[in-house]
Amino acid sequence: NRDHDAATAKTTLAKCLDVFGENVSVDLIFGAPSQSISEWLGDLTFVIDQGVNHVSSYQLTVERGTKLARQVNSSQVSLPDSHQAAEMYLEAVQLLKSRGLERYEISNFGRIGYECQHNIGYWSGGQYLGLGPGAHSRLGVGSDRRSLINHPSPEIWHTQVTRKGHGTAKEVVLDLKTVLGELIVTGLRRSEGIISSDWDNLCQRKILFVDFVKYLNNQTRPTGTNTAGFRMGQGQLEGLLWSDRQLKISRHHLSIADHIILNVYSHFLDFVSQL
Amino acid sequence: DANQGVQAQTVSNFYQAFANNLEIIPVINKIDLPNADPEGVREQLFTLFEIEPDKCFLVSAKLGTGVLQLLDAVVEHVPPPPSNSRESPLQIFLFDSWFDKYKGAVNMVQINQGILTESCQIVSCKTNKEYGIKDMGLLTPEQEEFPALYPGQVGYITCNMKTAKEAVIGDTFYLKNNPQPPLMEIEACKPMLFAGIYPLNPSEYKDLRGAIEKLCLNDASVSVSNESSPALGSGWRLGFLGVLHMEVFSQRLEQEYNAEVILTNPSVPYKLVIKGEKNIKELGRIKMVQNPSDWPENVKVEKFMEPMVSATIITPADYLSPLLELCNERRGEQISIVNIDQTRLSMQYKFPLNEIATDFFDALKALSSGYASFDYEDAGYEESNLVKLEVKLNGDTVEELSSIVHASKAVSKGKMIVGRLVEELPRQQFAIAVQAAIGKKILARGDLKALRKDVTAKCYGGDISRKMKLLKFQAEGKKRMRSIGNVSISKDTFVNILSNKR
Repeated sequence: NRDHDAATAKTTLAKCLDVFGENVSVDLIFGAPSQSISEWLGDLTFVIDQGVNHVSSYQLTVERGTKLARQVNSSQVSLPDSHQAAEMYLEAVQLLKSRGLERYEISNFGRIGYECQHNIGYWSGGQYLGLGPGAHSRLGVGSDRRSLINHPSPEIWHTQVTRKGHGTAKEVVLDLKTVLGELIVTGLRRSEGIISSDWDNLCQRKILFVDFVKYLNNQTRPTGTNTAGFRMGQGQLEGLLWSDRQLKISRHHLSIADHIILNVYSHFLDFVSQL
Repeated sequence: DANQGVQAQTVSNFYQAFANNLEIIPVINKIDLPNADPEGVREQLFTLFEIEPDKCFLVSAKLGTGVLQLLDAVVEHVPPPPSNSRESPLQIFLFDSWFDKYKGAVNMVQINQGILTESCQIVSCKTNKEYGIKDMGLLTPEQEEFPALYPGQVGYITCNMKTAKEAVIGDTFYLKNNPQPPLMEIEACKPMLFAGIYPLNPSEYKDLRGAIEKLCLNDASVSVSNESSPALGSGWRLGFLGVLHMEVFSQRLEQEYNAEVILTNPSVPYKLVIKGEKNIKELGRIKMVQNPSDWPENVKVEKFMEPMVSATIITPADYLSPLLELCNERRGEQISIVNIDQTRLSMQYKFPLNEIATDFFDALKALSSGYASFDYEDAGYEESNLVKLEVKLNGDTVEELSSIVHASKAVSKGKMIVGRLVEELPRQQFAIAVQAAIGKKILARGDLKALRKDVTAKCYGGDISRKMKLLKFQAEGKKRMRSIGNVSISKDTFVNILSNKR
């Protein structure tokens, strides 16, 4: 249920570009009811033509209990099937690339130098502080890495902040498997993947990146190194590339990242159990 | 049964008794029921077995009607047991046994010759084990103690047998130091049907083992051997006397022991005649195979044989047509077909055991709205055209999914398994070619396309915790997977395809 229409969006975009110039990003959703591929690409083109340097693009997810969910379930609206959705995504990647906006994360595209620094923090094991009701935080590194969640209810959050000076409802110290697991889940969504220094710093060198890479080497037959010098995963790890410094999913396999991430995480758990 | 009339079991019991030259007293029971038709049943008995109508006893066990006359007739017509000498050396025939929680095995015996007293030490012909008599007596029908049993008498004895397997039905006992020949040659119960049984959770292996051991205490006719499957873990191969036996056993496991089990499709023991001196040295002249993984290469085999049964089917005429089709489909050979009264027919058929071992009974009942009845007996082995059907994923064979089938059924079964796999296997980064094959010949093929899109839209702050939770859950599921080449298959897929879901 959006409270604006296309015209409003356009005028707002124009105002933002006016005020903020080059540092404007637009969020666009594809896979909407009755959206055709050409409409979608048309919207993308329009936005790029306005001069934005960054676009975030997501497939529409239908959440349980929403008006849209009811409409979909009763067949009042029809959504594009998974084949069409895959088409829309891949076409978008192509189009944005041709206009100079590189995909640096599964859903994020920007000209060189305009990548979102804030979000990269999430995906490289950085620390972040959540403010406001329901916000999440990750503080500390290694054995001190903690997850904090703020009260989701605005009223309770407000009262608590007034009384205690913070809105934290829950604080948990994370174990190393989870700490590195989160880096796997987020880092592999980036085009450049996980960098060894991020990994080693995040876990205070308790589990070395190179050791995990050695383990992966043993999981694959010694055939595969690609032209850029990366080892290539096979079987369950097909689509995964790595070196002593980097672990990433190949461009062509980014669209099935979840599948590969699960396999990498499973291997990671096996690796840790052997330590 | 005055209500149901002659059933298939009636027929098979009659012929067994007849073949053994036993005196038969025809009894029509349940005449108290409103729908009882004793006249009609008399007619059936005459048509089928040439039993004179006036020789039938009409009885209601529930109300006691006609029971006295029946007992008199039993006394009059049934020949007495052979009256051998009391002075002859002791010879006892064991013909039934059950397990009592406190007393151990309680055995029903008949004294053939000699006198049995409580002071006797008896030895089994079959097991050579020695026993003292703990207590003994007659069944009246309650257990009533008596100090001695004489030739011809039938009574019970308990003798500290700890397991049901010690009491071998048909065994003969003699007095210690005075061995006597056995009264009957006993063949161990031949299992007719085998099924693999595995714990659903490997962690419950020990509990399941305990449950199976306890159930087998009271049922010596179940044969047990260890088996393991790479997909399902460690388990057992159990041999049963028939489909009903298997079903009762697995139901009791579930109900009495709360065991969650995977029961794989029942298989039958095949008999292979081996050829070639070298092969015979290695495998023996005759090789019995229960497990497809033991199937030798075709070149080594001179003859393939499968177990057959002779079956009786009784059905109302209305359902004859669909049943004939069913029997035909199951490679049945019709031996005879006879009207037993105005509305019903009795058919004798010969079937390969593996065709009726799984769902034949259910199909029979379904096609006849429950009115048909079915019974069968071992009918030896016959030569057959048997092949080993294998399943391959991207060229790698999945051993657990191999099966032995009749050549005529190979294609349809192959197609069925391929279809199920294509439906159930999760997609992966690459395409998967599913094939059903006999040796190098491909009978059926299906393709599973590669994954195209599997990605979470957003991954910021709060999303990360949720994503980790989901990932941990999924990783647990992956532990239950088995890899065949590059393809990973979940245990659930194996369970769905292999298990005998009734």
